[in-house]
Amino acid sequence: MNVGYLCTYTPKELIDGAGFTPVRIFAGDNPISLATAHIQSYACSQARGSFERALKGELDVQAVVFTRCCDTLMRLTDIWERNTDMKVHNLEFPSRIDEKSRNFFIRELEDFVAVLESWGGEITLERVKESLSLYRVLEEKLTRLFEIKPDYEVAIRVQEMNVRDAIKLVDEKLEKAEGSEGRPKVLITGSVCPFVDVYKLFEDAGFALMDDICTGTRFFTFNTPEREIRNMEDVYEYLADKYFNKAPCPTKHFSDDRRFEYILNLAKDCDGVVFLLLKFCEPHFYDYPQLKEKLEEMGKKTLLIELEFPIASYEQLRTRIEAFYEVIE
Amino acid sequence: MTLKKLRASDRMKQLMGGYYMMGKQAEVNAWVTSGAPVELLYAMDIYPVYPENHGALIGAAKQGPYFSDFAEKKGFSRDLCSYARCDIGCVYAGTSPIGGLPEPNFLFACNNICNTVIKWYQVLSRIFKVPLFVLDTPFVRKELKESYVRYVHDQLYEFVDFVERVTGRELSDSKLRETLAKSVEGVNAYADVLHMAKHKPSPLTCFDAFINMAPIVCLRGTEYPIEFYAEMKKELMERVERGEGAVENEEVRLLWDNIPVWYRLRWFAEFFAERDACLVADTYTNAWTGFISMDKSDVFWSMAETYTFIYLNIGLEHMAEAINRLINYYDVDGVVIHSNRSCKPYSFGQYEIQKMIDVPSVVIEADMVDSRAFSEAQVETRLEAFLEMLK
Amino acid sequence: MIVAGIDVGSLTAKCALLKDRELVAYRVIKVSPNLEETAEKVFCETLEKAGIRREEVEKIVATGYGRNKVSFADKKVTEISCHAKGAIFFIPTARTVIDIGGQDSKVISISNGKVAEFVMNDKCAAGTGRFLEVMANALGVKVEELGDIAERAKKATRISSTCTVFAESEVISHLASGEKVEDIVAGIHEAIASRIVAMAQRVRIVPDVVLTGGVAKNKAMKKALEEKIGFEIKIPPEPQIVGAVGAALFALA
Repeated sequence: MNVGYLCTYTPKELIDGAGFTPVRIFAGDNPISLATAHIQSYACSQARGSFERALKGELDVQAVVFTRCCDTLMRLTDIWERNTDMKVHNLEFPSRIDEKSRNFFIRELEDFVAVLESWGGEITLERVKESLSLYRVLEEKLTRLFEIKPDYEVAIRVQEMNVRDAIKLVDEKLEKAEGSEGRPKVLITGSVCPFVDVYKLFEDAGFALMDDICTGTRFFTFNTPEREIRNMEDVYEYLADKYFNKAPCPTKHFSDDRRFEYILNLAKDCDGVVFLLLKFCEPHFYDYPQLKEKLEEMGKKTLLIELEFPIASYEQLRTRIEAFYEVIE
Repeated sequence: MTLKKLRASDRMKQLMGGYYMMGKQAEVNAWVTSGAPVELLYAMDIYPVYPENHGALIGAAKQGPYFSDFAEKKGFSRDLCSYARCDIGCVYAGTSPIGGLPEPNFLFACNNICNTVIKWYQVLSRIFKVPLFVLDTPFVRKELKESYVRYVHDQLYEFVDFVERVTGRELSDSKLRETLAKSVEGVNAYADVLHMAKHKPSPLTCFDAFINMAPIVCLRGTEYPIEFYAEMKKELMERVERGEGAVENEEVRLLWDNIPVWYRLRWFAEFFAERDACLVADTYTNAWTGFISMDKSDVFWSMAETYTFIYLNIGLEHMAEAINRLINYYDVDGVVIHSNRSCKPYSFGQYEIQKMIDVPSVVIEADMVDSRAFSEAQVETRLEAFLEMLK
Repeated sequence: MIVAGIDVGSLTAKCALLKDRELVAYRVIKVSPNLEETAEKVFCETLEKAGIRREEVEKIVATGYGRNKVSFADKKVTEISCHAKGAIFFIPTARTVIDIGGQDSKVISISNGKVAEFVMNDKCAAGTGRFLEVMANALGVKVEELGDIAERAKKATRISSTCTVFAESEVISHLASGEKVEDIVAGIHEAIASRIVAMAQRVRIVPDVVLTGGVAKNKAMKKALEEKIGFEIKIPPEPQIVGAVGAALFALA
């Protein structure tokens, strides 16, 4: 059975450990029509586009986990459940990331395991340990690949396949990977963008890329080293640490403004920053003005690109990106 | 046509004038979201400032686009919540229809009404450089799990520590119990007022409820709403005894869903009254009734329960059930659904709810504060067609 | 009894005169900025055509976007109720009415001869006549020609944008990249049809499905809608005046 998910805070390790394949759900390349009968047009096109694919029967997914992040996905959970045959579970990932919420998250993980079992999954400590280490290997390899040169096609493809096949694919790419030295570097920050051609536009324009994108490095950037796991309690503890310390997303609240610091730090080595934001994505658009101001104080040039899926005109995007390159050069 | 006016509305203006005056003199104030457990603040003599209520006020003053513009110029997208946009706009403008809000000592955001408030308050916290406390309430899609309540419960204790640390004030148990008792009494008095709409013809419309809801939001936990709503109920009772309806010739009874269109309240009120239709109740103000039930033994646990299971923080099945209860209680013929561009958790799912409720409904597109998202001809046609269909 | 129905839309105004339940005359004219004048004009022209004096008309009902501007009307009824009534007049078996209007598109479901449910487009103009007009303009062709042009298409170019403004620039970029005009036009029809059908999904689509409004004359649109709905669509003999006839029927009642 394939278990779909939309948010990178979803503990894929437990899904894999239950014997299911976690599959990330993205908006499709076709115009959105069926979904408009169920959700208003001011929902972002990642939500509408993903749901469109479910309604059209394009998803090979039998269950979906909605991990709490934004208001739109929170409401989409019920809409999805009412209009598809898929099993649906909402995992309440806390919006606050700190000690208090950590205990709560662990309770949610326990409940999630029970749900996976009710779906016919079999979770044993051995299997979960294997899943934990496989994902860690995948994440390390992706990190290495991206250090040489970001490969968004691979990054996106691995999110839709079994972790074992994913590792093989990244291994193949690692053998052939070559860096692109001497190019001006741009940091792309934003929510999701599963359309590889968008990143190609940046490369075509002459940029070397770095990203803080949910379909890019935020998928595999965790900061918790391997440790000994003796029982399920250890699994939960480890997952809590892993997901609480992952590359931060604007849907979460950190008492220390961790996301701003994280991005300002990434931007240090870049010549410019592009906000690649999905229209109607509230969490990102609230951060944008103040983050932009901070980046400009650092002397960084910024560009805002507002996306809607499917992407209607790559030529329009190309013009903007090329102009930004000219500004930076 | 002239709408019938309630004497209560004048008193409400005085009361709220007093509330805003209080804010200018308060020693310590906190900006809070409308669904936050304000009782804790009143119990510690901290003045609560409600940016959402301020947003509504800006909308009613038809100043939405003007103040939003200040935020938009700073880069805040026009697709963001118009309460947030206008309020942030007022901070940048340094004024507002009431001369701006007093600067906060700290911020208190509870995401039981939306996740937007977390982002909005983060923005404020960076502007004012004051601490922000986020009370995180898990979404009750199906069942209110004990783990949810425990999580919220623990945060309430943490919040008290936070406030004691920031303000140096201490929470007294007896003062909290006293405040909670007043809160319950106020909410009951308010519920009594709304329940008057059960009478046929109804002595009040949802527009009367909207105009007069500020005290239960802002002054909940004080004496004021208790007295105010008792008085308002008396006035409504007089109408009932005279057999007088809020709408001259009540033929159709309707329910409103979502936050009002503040800059068009009067227009809507007249529109329906002219067509012998009375919007007797709404999901917005009714969300404030009966939501609090206090178990005296563990008030923190009760608070955690009630503030987690709040109307906007529950799944569609729970919402449809609540709407059907209102449909039944107020005996309405149809539901007018405001698809509010600003409020995603309130609006997404409305198309499903239409299929889950017991009477016909119509969807109109608008925004609570930003009049640029309102098309009069479009709304008029939809509503007229709906009334033709019901009659 | 002679009655009149006047439908003042955003692009055209229509008037229908009924004697008892029989259609005796009708006119369709373009609207001028002064809606009151437009209504007066279409009414007078229809009277003239029928050879009926104004005093003979016992009751007038106005409908459409400009209905409230028709001060000489005895009553105003929305186009939703009128299109339903008018559609049944022409096609008694009608259960679903699709009307693609200039400003608003609607899908109406009828039961027992009355409106049971209806949905309309949200704020944006995608899926309305206005969308067609903007696109025709961008392509440099007349709106009336669109249907014939689309019939010549070999394929339908995909239009992704749902927003009229974005779709316009998308159409221009398709032209620039060498797509054929007829394929783009076919794509535009497809885009509108999928918009309408998505909206229609919020009510129950039950045959017979009747398409009303000026766009109904466009064969390509009918075909695109039929493909998406999966039912044959019936078109009344004079699709443009369905609303006006419905209004006249309300005058009779």
